[in-house]
Amino acid sequence: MSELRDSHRLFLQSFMSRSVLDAKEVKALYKSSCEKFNEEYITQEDERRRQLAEFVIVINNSIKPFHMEIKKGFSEDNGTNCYCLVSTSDTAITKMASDYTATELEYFKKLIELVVESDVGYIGSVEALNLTESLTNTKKMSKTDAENLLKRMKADRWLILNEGQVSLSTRTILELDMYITDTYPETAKMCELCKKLCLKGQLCEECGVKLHVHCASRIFSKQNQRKCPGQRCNAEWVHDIPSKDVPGSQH
Amino acid sequence: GRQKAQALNTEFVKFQPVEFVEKLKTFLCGNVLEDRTISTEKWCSLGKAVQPSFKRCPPFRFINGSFERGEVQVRKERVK
Amino acid sequence: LTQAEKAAAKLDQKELELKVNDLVQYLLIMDQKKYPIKKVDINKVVLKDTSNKAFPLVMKRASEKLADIFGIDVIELQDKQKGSYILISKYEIDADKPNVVWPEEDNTRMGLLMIILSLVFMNNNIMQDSEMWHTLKKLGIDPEVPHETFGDVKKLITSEFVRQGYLEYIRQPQTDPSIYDFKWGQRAKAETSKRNILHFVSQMYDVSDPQQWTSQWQDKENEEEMEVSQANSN
Ligand SMILES: [Zn+2]
Ligand SMILES: [Zn+2]
Repeated sequence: MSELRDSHRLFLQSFMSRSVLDAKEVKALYKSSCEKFNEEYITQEDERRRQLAEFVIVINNSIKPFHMEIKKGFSEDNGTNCYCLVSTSDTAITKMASDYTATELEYFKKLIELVVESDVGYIGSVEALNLTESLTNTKKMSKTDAENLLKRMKADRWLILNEGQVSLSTRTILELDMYITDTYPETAKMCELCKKLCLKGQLCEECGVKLHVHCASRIFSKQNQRKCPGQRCNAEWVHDIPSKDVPGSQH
Repeated sequence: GRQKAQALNTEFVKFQPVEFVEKLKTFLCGNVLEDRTISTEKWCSLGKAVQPSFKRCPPFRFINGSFERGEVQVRKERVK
Repeated sequence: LTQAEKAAAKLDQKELELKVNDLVQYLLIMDQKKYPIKKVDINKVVLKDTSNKAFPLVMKRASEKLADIFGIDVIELQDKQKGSYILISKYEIDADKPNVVWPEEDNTRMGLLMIILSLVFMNNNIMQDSEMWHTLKKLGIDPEVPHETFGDVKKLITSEFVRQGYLEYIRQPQTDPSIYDFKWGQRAKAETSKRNILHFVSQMYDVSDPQQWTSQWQDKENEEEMEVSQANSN
């Protein structure tokens, strides 16, 4: 009936159970899915890579009618490639998701707004907790509730909480990049190099051009004279550029 | 019916619930006599160990589309 | 043409396909809580104005897609729960290479559930509530006391596990104060087996021969025979 084999189905179930997989984990998953059903697994690197890409395309074609997709993205923190199973529709049916209450989602939306409006792509945790005061449409939320919610959203891999800072995870950016750019067309910035949404990154104070750290590293690592890539800007690029090769940033 | 009665007759090990959970506790906490409380981590590792006994289907979790977008400044349909 | 097919024929192919896809998405989303999904709700949310008579065909197609693409079986519950559906994976996870992983809370709960299912099965498939609580207290689980890991553990066992279909919690008639019995729910029967439970219990006792529990072993054998004959008659 279809070109899907047991390995595809198990691979997909695994994606449903795990929120984010990096490139290495995807490779390991592909290997164990093939092996479990005694399907051929090619060890030769290039050919295997081609087969894995094909494997994911077959799955994506099959799940597209249900508005699902295995999508590739990268961490804004270190540029590593990540893969997530995302939902691509917004309908009465997707509203039936039950992981978070309406109040919690309202809070999450406000949080996204603040993160997007900050130039740096994160907000302080105190600021995040104070957001409870601005909820209007829904039930009130205490600070303790908010604290627990932040922890839960971290465990579910929607948020990154690190040293008093709250930022959006790769998983959130992958699912919500369209929502964010549509809702905040004025404030949401795109990376000058990869043209994708850029929340955490390096900003040119002169013209407002933004670059992901790993994208800046790709442009500048071999240059001594660092100039802003913005059109007709040419200002000095004053940020630190990580010198080491960024894992997974090759395409 | 009769077969079952026979089986019951020849049963030589009777299951004792309390004995079973004592074994379980030893399995989880080892043979130490003092602290035998089962911590969250121990419950978790027991769960991990028994998950393969269940054909539970993993749920699909997502955030996009789960909330009302509210007043979105709709731009023209973007081509992917 | 069957009646269902006649009803569905009123939908054109494209419309039918859309309904089937909506139903697949709906079933996956509603499975988040692991509560059985009701036909009434499917008719209300997915089929809407479409004739409800289309239900059997749309459900059949959606089940085929879930099996073919996701490796998931849709199972209709029986008896009093007819008209409710649960999703079951076709695959068992490998213990050494767990491809499917669960959040911590799921793991802790499945650990507890495994113990309760073992107790019920080993106790001739039924256990009275007083004996259950007495036994679980040895593990630090007291229905009256909030639990460090499980919170309101009485609610978890007698309400959440019951609602999900893992357990049945049945009041004995004419008892005052009420006495309840625990039994396996239909989801437990679909997701695991008496064989798995017996294997787990044997592990705890560190015995290599589960046949020492003669009646339970026989019970397991009967279950497996039933499954074989059911598979053959299908
Ligand atoms: Zn970039
Ligand atoms: Zn500039």
